[in-house]
Amino acid sequence: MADKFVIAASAAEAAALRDGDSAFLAGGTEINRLGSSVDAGTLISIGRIAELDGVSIQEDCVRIGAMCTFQDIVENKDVPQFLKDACLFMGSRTKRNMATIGGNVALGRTDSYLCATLLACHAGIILRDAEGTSIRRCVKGYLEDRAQYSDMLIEALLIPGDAVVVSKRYSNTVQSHAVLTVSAGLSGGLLRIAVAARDTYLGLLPEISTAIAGAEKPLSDEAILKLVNGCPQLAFRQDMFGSPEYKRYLLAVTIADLVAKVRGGEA
Amino acid sequence: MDMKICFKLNGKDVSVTTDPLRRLIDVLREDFGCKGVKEGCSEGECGACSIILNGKMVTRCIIPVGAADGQEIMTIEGVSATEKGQTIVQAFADGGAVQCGFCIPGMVIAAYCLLNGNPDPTEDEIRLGISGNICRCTGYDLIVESIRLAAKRGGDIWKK
Repeated sequence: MADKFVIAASAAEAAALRDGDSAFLAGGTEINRLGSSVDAGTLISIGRIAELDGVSIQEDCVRIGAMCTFQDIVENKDVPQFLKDACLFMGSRTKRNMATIGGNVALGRTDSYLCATLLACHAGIILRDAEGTSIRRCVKGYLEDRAQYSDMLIEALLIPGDAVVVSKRYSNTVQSHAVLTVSAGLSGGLLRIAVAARDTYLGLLPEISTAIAGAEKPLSDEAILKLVNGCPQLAFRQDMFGSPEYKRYLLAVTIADLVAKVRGGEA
Repeated sequence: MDMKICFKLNGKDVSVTTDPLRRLIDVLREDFGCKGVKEGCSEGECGACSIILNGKMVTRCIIPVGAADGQEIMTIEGVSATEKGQTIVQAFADGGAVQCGFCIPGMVIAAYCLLNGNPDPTEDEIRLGISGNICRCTGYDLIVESIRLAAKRGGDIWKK
């Protein structure tokens, strides 16, 4: 439970304030809610920092400020449709008016709305450290080593201009957390498959992507299921969302479907 | 440590000196008497605590009040004091939209935000507009019909 609250006036100040016992307060959909996954002694409000806002087109990508809300993204003409679709996975417009892209990535939840899509499009991320230095990483690197970057402020996300992605989310209702969110993307000529599997794994599935990309003809659902069964990261558990076998089957047929769509130009 | 927090509430400049970590919903209800802001799920999911923050509808009541400093807030008390708000409230009453009433402040705010941006919404657009508000009594149909009634009765006021 937090016992201190500070308002940062700039990205540099926010980054300098961050330490191991603090958390950035962005849109406010997670911190303070009942059952929050965030436990911090100090909350650093970053809601007033203009430099974290806005969408701009850069040479090879679209730059989206970390404090852009899901609804800002849905309404922006420069953002690719596949990212808007991922934002619309959050069914409540009211929540979309609050939730930010930076907050969603920083939380790195295994039922994240956006992370699978961002991984599949090979998105970049701009971080600011306590000394005020901005560094660029890919979302994959950030999520794989969040402990290393946890004290840094996310400034922006970078969406490659050539990326195409299709994603699918499975949940009981649009208000519920997802059991699976799966994305297939093409960027820089590479096929990437990513998954956000609740309480199991958030990340890319390189073995499956490589096998599918290297196959002479499209793999069958059964062949993809075999690949899914061989992924050590996908140690699904029996829970209220279903059995491990069910989740693996769902993931396999979804990958087959999404790969066909992204290759067929339906993205 | 207490902090002086200043914001605009229902068109008036207000301030409160309090622990900035108190939830906004508690400050609105206990310090400013805005009892129309309801606490339902405490997770920001059900929409009962909806307010309008800087022109956009949010369930931001779960955030610390310190984050409201410098912002513009409108609650159901502010909305229902306007001609537009009264039009919606009357339409809800006439249309039989209210059963237990707990979700209704949030529903009225959702209708207000929707009709301000879209004076003549379709049924799908109305359902999308109230997508962040959960009602466990009505099945939504009478609420949707009442919003349609408010749109029709309000006419040009929604274009102001």
